[in-house]
Amino acid sequence: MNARNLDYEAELRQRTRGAARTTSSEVLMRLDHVSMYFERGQSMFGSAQKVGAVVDVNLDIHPGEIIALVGESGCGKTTLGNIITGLQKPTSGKLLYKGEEVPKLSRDKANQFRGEVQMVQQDSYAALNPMRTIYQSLSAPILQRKIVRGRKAAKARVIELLQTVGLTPPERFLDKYPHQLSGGQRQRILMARAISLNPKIIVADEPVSMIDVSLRISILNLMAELNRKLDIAIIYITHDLATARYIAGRGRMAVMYLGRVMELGGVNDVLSQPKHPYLQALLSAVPTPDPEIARAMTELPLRSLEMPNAAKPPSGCRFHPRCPMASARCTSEEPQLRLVGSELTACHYAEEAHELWQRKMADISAIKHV
Amino acid sequence: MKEGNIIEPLVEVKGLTIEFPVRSGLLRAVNEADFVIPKGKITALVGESGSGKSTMASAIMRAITVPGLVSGGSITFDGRDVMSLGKKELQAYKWEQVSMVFQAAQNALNPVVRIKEQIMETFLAHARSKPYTEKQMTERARNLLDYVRLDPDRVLNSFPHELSGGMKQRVMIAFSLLLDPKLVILDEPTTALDVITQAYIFDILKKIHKEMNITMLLLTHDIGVVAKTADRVGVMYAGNVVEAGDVFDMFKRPKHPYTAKLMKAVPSLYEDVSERKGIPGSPPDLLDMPPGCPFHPRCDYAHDKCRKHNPIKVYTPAGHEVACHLYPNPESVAEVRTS
Ligand SMILES: Nc1ncnc2c1ncn2[C@@H]1O[C@H](COP(=O)(O)OP(=O)(O)OP(=O)(O)O)[C@@H](O)[C@H]1O
Ligand SMILES: Nc1ncnc2c1ncn2[C@@H]1O[C@H](COP(=O)(O)OP(=O)(O)OP(=O)(O)O)[C@@H](O)[C@H]1O
Ligand code: SF4
Ligand code: SF4
Ligand SMILES: [Mg+2]
Ligand SMILES: [Mg+2]
Repeated sequence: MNARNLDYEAELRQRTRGAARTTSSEVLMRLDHVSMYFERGQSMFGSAQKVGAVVDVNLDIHPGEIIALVGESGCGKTTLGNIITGLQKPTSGKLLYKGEEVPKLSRDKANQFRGEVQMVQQDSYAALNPMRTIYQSLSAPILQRKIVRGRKAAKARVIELLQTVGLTPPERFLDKYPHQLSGGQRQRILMARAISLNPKIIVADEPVSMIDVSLRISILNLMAELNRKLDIAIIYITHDLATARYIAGRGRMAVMYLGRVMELGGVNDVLSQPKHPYLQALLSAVPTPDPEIARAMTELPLRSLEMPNAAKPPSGCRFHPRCPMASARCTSEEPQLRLVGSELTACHYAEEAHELWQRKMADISAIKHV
Repeated sequence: MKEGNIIEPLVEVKGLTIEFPVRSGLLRAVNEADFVIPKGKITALVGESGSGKSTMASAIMRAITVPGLVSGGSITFDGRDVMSLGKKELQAYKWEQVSMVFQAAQNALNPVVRIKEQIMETFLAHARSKPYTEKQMTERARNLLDYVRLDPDRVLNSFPHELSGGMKQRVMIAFSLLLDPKLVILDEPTTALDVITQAYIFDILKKIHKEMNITMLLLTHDIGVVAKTADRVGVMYAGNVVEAGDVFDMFKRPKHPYTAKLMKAVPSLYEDVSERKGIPGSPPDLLDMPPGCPFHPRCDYAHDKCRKHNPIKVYTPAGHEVACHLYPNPESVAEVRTS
């Protein structure tokens, strides 16, 4: 790494730390050059393939902030969420919780970490034990962690939790089994279980993907409320940029591509002033609920729609085979995150890309106003 | 309204009622629904989960299976009465006149049979009316796969598990076009896919629609997809089509209070977030429907009449239709009463 890159690194720390709505510079969790490589069985030629699901990610999570993690299917979002919650141990890099390295935590502190960092899984079918009633699933962890004592207190707390997540009347849900609930209801049970342990961080992995629009907003509102009222930091994982904007309005957004963070900044900056050509393509692909705007955006600014093989990431910038702006430099030199405008972007030509985007947006708003 | 909006129907659904016997009674999934699919257009059918979209579409495909029962109404396809088709006619009707890509289509492929064999089976089942030679069949399959931007050599020789979700989705779309149908029904074709793959699939669909002049019916939760793709939109609520009209009208000037709420329930990237709200209340219990207009417990405009009588649908000459007491006659539809 050359001196310039180190400067950017310092800048990155500065930016990701002093962000968003928290005034405190306190860092709850720090991801320090975190990578996750999966070995993928023996290939035909005898050597094991290495898939970089998460590559060299740096991120600070502050108390009570919301970070949206977005990107295409397979880009590493769930893997990063698993690392944050300690479900998977990164193959390299460090995870620090309240300043201490997670694998080196004392027994008490490790226990505290497991309670304070919760995950709402992408697959709500798989995340609930089909043999247990909702009451059983929700009361076991709080009894075990001695958050409440005694069956009576546990029941009262479970009822309260069900009410918090909008499952009313709560008594109707206590004796139900997961298969008797709709997708949206199960997703809320997972949310209730996560908040029951008084967490400081909730990683919510596609929590509304299975839910139709009318319910979607109410679950997003619930998460925003938990964040506001209980000061829980939320990592919202999704491929849906519109819901990310909805929930993380004042928070930050990290855009991932093939395991790497390509753009990081305040949500509104990232979405209104996108610099990275990949992010621009992603934004262009969002179906917007306005027929005139939707039809004005015709061709996607991508040279190819196929996602490259994560086991053989392209040389240089890993986006270059699909990038409409790629030059010779892009095929050999990997861009590092650097400050462009008010966000961090990993693209050699971020300034030019940004200018093109602004011109395109001006054209579209012209359509809106004729 | 723009000119050229006179609708020439390919499919006409009238008073359609479909029931399922369940433990606690008879569930009416589709309740006296009227609906028209115009020829050569892309029509979208939207509505909350459980509103009856898939059930109505399956009936058009004559794919309602026991114990489900079409207990009333009629379906006309290109002038023919669909409900009275005999066994042989039915075999030619399915896939040759109308084909359907079912919800969760990725799971519809047989996991232990190569794609090529699955395609051949479909051809052979229709050999009577479409007698292709093996060479012609392969040729056509290859062309269609190419059309949906798949590599025919690789895909034809693959088992389903060797293909990604997006690839399987495209195989199913190619499948639905094999026998040159007049109508293709697509049930939630992209829910599980990210926006770039989604955009890609809809690009393909629009191209197919244009070049082959195929009529399409798209069932979806995703209002954004509708805005981008459809010519005409129908809105289902509790088993009924409560409003239908031109896509631009439906977004700009929704008439039915439910449509207005549905359009506002989607978070948008370009608009003020605070304008987006969920729809309060929950969908009605189909086994215990409220009297009068089924939407009245959730409607801001509900009045006495709504609690007693189910509104009758009115039709404007320009092709808009709405069932709501706020619009007692076609003339009143010109005014927008929702906000
Ligand atoms: N246990 C594993 N073993 C091998 N490869 C894995 C494993 N888990 C994930 N991967 C690979 O790592 C990459 C990232 O997967 P991940 O599930 O994190 O993606 P994602 O962004 O959450 O995608 P989606 O939006 O589809 O949920 C993919 O290429 C995936 O195939
Ligand atoms: N085979 C069946 N037996 C009993 N009830 C059924 C059956 N098929 C559908 N239903 C019921 O009919 C109603 C309409 O279902 P349908 O699948 O048509 O809704 P939909 O609008 O397609 O919903 P989604 O958006 O969730 O796919 C639902 O209440 C459903 O539970
Ligand atoms: S570095 Fe080059 S290839 Fe990568 S996003 Fe920027 S312009 Fe495109
Ligand atoms: S008929 Fe009455 S209750 Fe029903 S949608 Fe119209 S105004 Fe609302
Ligand atoms: Mg995932
Ligand atoms: Mg359906």
